[in-house]
Amino acid sequence: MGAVKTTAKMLQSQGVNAKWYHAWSKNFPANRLMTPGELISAQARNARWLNTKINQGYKIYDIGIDATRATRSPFYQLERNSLQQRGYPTTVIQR
Amino acid sequence: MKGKNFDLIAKEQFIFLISEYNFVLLKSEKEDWGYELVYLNKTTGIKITYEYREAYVFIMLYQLDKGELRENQGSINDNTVLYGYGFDDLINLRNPQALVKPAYEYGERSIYYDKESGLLEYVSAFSNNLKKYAKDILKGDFTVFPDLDKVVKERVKKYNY
Repeated sequence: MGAVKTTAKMLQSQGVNAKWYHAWSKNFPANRLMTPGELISAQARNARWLNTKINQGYKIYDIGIDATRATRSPFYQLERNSLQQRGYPTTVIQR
Repeated sequence: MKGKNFDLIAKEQFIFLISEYNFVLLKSEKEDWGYELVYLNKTTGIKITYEYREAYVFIMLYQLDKGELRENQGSINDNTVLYGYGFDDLINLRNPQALVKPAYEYGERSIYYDKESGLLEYVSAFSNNLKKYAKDILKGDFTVFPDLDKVVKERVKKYNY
């Protein structure tokens, strides 16, 4: 999440009206783990947000994976699948 | 009864870094996406990141450069010098069966979803693994890093598109 926010802020500093999906803490508990049910709800919120941005014609930037992480985020996979299903182009940008 | 927040639990569970390996807690911050803690001793940096939505604890192990923690550059190729590696890759090299998965993969009936102690149990699993599988790195022996370097660079090639 930190890399996404950093990249969006960098784009904003260049005059790009960059937005990023906020996985706000209010949607997640700090004193227990997110449950499988909450994961599904969170993914649905992420997908709705992405679809709204696609419908609004936003340019989508892809910062790729963090190669030092052995596990892949289900959210990143969801976003890539959504974009592929809709045939929406992305712009690759370095982290 | 409510459980403790992640940062309090992490400070308790990773206290061995301070008491046994002379680390200091350099940073402990709550972000809108989770928490980040950074520990340093004379040779090694440890970054512990908890992202709510990943339901996972990411641990990075760094070889300090002149006493300072240097982040890896974002774009990695075969020639990139890396200073830090994911603890998961170390576990995968040493005992893949010990790898802790994202919490939701264990299901809501697992001990990790106990209302009072679930998060503590989960963080404890990571701290126990760090104690067991990263002793050399915590003491400043980075001879395993070239092996981790190969893993990361192979992953870059696999996911490059």
